[in-house]
Amino acid sequence: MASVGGDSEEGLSLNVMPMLDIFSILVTFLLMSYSSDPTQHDVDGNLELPESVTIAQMDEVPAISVTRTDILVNNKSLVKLENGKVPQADINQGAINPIYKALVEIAETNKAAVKELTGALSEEKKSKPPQITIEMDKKHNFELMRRIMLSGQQAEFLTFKLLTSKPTID
Amino acid sequence: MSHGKKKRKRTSSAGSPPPELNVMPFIDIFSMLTTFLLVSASFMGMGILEVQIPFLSNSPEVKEEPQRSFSLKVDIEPANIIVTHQWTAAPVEKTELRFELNDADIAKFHTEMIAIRNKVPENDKVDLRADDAVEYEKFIKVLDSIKTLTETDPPLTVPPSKDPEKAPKKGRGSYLFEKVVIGSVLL
Repeated sequence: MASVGGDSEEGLSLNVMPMLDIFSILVTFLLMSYSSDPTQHDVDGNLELPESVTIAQMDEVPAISVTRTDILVNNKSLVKLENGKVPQADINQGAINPIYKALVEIAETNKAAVKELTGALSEEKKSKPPQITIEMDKKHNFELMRRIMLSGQQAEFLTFKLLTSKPTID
Repeated sequence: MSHGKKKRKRTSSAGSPPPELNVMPFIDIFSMLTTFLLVSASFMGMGILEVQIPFLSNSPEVKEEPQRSFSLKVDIEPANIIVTHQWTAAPVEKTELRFELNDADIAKFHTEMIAIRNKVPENDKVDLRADDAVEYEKFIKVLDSIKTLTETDPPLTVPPSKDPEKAPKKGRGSYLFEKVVIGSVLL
């Protein structure tokens, strides 16, 4: 292939081989790091997830998000945090009242949806405790997580999936 | 992307010039592929750590024959991790181990948890308690050390899980203690 600076009769021609090399490397890297997970979730810019080497993949979008300033349930801000703590007015019996009410609604909606789909709750669904996924900023204290879990427990959620970040290339 | 006009190089030797590969279609395909992958790729992988919390039940207490079972408790304090394990019946063999809450000691704690799991293979449950002041990032680090066995760790001598999803996969980690109950939620 001719390169730049050939004789004047041929004119200029671009050597595209280095560009091809770059594209090949880029495509290889992107294909290796490409995630085929069906669940995609964009983390809020105001939230930094803790790192973990867990083997379990995220299977549902988190219902509860705890950013540095807010607690959101299904993307709706319910509690404004004051220096990382829940305001005293929102606390009831150790749990966070607005979160408890929102989780009760979610639990009832889930039960109604399952009933509508299956006619009646199957034995398997009855025995399986309801679960909820939580994402929380890594700088918060465990106290906040405990209060959220207590709110969930009062709304009959007994299993919690804590969202973490992990490297995509194993 | 436009395709350049084909040019033939003049060769010094006599005869027809050597054939030249037109790489422009390759570049077109690579450009499209790169654009598609860059737009659709997610660069941060996400995982989950599943935990349970205890619940209070109104159902009548079932009276069972008392059995000798193993109890493993981990307490996370702002500066320490305390591991307590014992049998519920004689000989109790109570042991308490203390680690500092830093990266080096969390690694030692993880090694100790592997040893406990190998010593009592039938127990896959840990009762985890954390102080309110513990940072969530550190809590997750300890939880990760309890739950996950990485590929650099020595393999467990416990029988493999019957669930194919939970069975160890080549080149990936597996569960160390699968069931973690956060007892401090109700306290």
